[in-house]
Amino acid sequence: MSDCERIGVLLDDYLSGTLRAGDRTEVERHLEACPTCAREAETLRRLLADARALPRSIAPPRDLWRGIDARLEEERPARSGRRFIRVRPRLLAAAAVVLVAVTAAVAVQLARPPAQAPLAGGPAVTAPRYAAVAADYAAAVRELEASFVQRYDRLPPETRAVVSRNLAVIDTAIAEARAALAAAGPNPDLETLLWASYRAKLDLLGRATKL
Amino acid sequence: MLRISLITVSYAVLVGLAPPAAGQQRVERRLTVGERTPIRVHNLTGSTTVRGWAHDSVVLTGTLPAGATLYFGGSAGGVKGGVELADPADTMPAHLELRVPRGARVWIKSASGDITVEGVSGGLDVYTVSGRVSVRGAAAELTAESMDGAVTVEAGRWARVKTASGAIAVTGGEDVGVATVTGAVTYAADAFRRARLESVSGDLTFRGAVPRGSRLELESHGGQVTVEVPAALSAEIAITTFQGEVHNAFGSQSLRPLPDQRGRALEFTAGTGGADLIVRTFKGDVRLLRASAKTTR
Ligand SMILES: [Zn+2]
Repeated sequence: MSDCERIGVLLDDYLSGTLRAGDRTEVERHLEACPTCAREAETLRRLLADARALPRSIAPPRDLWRGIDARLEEERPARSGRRFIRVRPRLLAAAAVVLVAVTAAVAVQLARPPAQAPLAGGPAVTAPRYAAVAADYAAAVRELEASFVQRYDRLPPETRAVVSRNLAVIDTAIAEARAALAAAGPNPDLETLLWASYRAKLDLLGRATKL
Repeated sequence: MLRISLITVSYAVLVGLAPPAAGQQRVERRLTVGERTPIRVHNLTGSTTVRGWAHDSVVLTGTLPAGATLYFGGSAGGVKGGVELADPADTMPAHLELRVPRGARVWIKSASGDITVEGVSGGLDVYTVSGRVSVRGAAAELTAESMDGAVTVEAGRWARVKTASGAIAVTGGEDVGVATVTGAVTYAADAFRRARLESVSGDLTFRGAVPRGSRLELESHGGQVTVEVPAALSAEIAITTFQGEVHNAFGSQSLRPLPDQRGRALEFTAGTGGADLIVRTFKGDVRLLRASAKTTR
């Protein structure tokens, strides 16, 4: 186990304040020296903080998905010349919702004809829609994060570490792409990359949620 | 055919060729099914191996830890098998091996267990959290996911592979989609129709030929993208990056800035075109390399 992996396993107890003094010092030293683990700790801290304010059950974010879907649909004709393979947000939405219930997921996986599954990169969305789509994605992410937090305690420590580490990487990517977009203005390629990172996050949260 | 009469035979044989380890139980179950019967297997720990064969029957053998229960049953309409651990927190491994009709549609779910599939041509859905996945023998439709384990797949007609941090290696296929967050991806093929590899920070590598009429897309935020293709490459190439560098062994063209700070792009036609090669990164470097004759598939 590398240092970072060791620390990753300890982080949860560290943030909950239940770590032995010796381990606590080790974690603190590592976090000062290692930005990757420090980011992961930050992500975890936020997830754990959110957990305290959670309701007992959460409805899947259907309405949010409809919003994203509708906005992307509106954008399609304008970009037909670029021949991007397009994501099917409705299917992605269905998948995200279905992920919450394992039995349903099983049924869908078995029944799904291959042509319907999303292969694609996201459709790029031009200027005026960007903020709205980004907000919808962010809201969908928040909903799934909430579901994930509810299940967090039931995950094995190694799995928590894997999920948290990957979430931290995605969050950094999202932050970088957003900052670049803020600086450069509307940019279809950059948006495509940003939506891909959001999708990666939704997907990871969705999978972590169904564990 | 028996599959119409739905005759199901199920029995346990508690004898084995080799004695099971202390506390373990050896199990065996058989069932006559149809050529394309859906089969679901649930085994959270240890390993699950599925092999396709030319018979209309399912045979399950395996060893279970003490206290675990095997459930198994179904008909030509569908078969379910799995291991119920005595204690959900139990991590003692159960090892299952199944023979199934080649054309079956098989679904396997695990948590820490490894999944191996050979010679199932129908359809395959495999899911594990930290286990490894290995698929040989081109299922027509394949979905494989692992959070953290490595996934190695021979793709058939249609394949989708996904991990968070597990490395992914895919060969072949016609319509292939691969996505990871931090895992490394390699895809080797020379007869695909469309393929899309994407990551957040994992490196993406394609090796092989880009067939006429095909579309190959590689997209990563921060991973390095490597495309290694024969010198005879014939494709429209479009590379966009924001902070990455591009090494192009297919000409003297280099990145040019796009207007309005939209990043940098390198677009050109190799050979006579006829296929699409699209690469997009935020900060990952891009290498377009000529395969040496040796490494060309
Ligand atoms: Zn670290």
